[in-house]
Amino acid sequence: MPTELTKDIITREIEGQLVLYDPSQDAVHTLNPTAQFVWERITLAPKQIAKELESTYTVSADVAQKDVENILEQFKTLGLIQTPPPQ
Amino acid sequence: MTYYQQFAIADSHYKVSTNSPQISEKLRHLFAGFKTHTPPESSPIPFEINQSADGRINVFPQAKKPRSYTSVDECISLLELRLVRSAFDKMHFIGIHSGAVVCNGKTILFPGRSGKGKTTLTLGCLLRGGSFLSDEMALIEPNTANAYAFPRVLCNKTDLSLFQALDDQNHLQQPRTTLFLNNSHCISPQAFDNIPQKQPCSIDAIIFPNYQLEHDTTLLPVSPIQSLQKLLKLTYKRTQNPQLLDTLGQIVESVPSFELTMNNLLEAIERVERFAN
Repeated sequence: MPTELTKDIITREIEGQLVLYDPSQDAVHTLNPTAQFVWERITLAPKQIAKELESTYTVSADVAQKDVENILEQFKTLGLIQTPPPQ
Repeated sequence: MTYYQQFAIADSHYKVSTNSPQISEKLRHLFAGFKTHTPPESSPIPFEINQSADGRINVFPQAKKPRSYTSVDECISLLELRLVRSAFDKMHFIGIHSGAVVCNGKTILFPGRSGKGKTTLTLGCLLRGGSFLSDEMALIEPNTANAYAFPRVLCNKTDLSLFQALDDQNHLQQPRTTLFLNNSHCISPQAFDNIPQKQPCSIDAIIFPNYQLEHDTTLLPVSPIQSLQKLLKLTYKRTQNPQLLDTLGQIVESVPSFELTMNNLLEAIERVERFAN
């Protein structure tokens, strides 16, 4: 099930790092490369994101799956996404 | 007798009528710098400011609820903020809590919260021959990321000896500033009437002042992302401007940012000047 953004998030890449600005919370978030990878595919299903992460970074399926779940959980905690990743 | 003052801020043009020569003079003085902006094509927005027999100041803006103030200074100060902000909001200008000067031909912003030293640095640079843009709010045009002059009421040091002692290696003892509307003995807009930049300025550097009495004066680079994060926190109405991140991102990517830790004004200004050279 694809994840949904909770609101309008403004993004900009600064020197290769993605910066998110959440006007509703007046909060700035700077993403690391893995989080950026996930954010750029945020509308895909978590399993699909994990599959792409696995092939791009040549990590195991388990690691990719856990990374994606953790990152989506963090996005959720920060109020950036609405739907929790399916278990 | 009725006195009239007209002034232009961004694309808005105001015509004020008042029964008080004191109010008229303060308005003239306060908004002198704003006449340098592009002349508006629209007809002026009229409003009245009248002093009643009991000394209260009553403001009658067009089609808005009248407001009443206890003193001329309170009225002018709040009126100024209201008008300036509403006018620049219309233009979608970005307002950053920042000093801004042109030093040796380079436009430098000094963004910072109150007490960090932005006014100190701004005025210090002016006393060494710099040109004034602002000591309180840097106005950034979102499409070009250029800075515009914001010659509003200047903050005044409570201790002017700080500036008189610029050549005496004087340490910063009282960095805090107070808004000063009485023009009698402060470093006032009068002193800067002839020097506000009349053209938009392309920003050359961002220097975050950081007054620290117990630390040496140092000028250290700040990464673009750190700079962006600091600027965002110092921007007015940031949640309402969709262009904000793009404009600030464009600035921090194209100009260097530094943190100026300072306990000595002269040293701090020399660091800025060395950079500008």
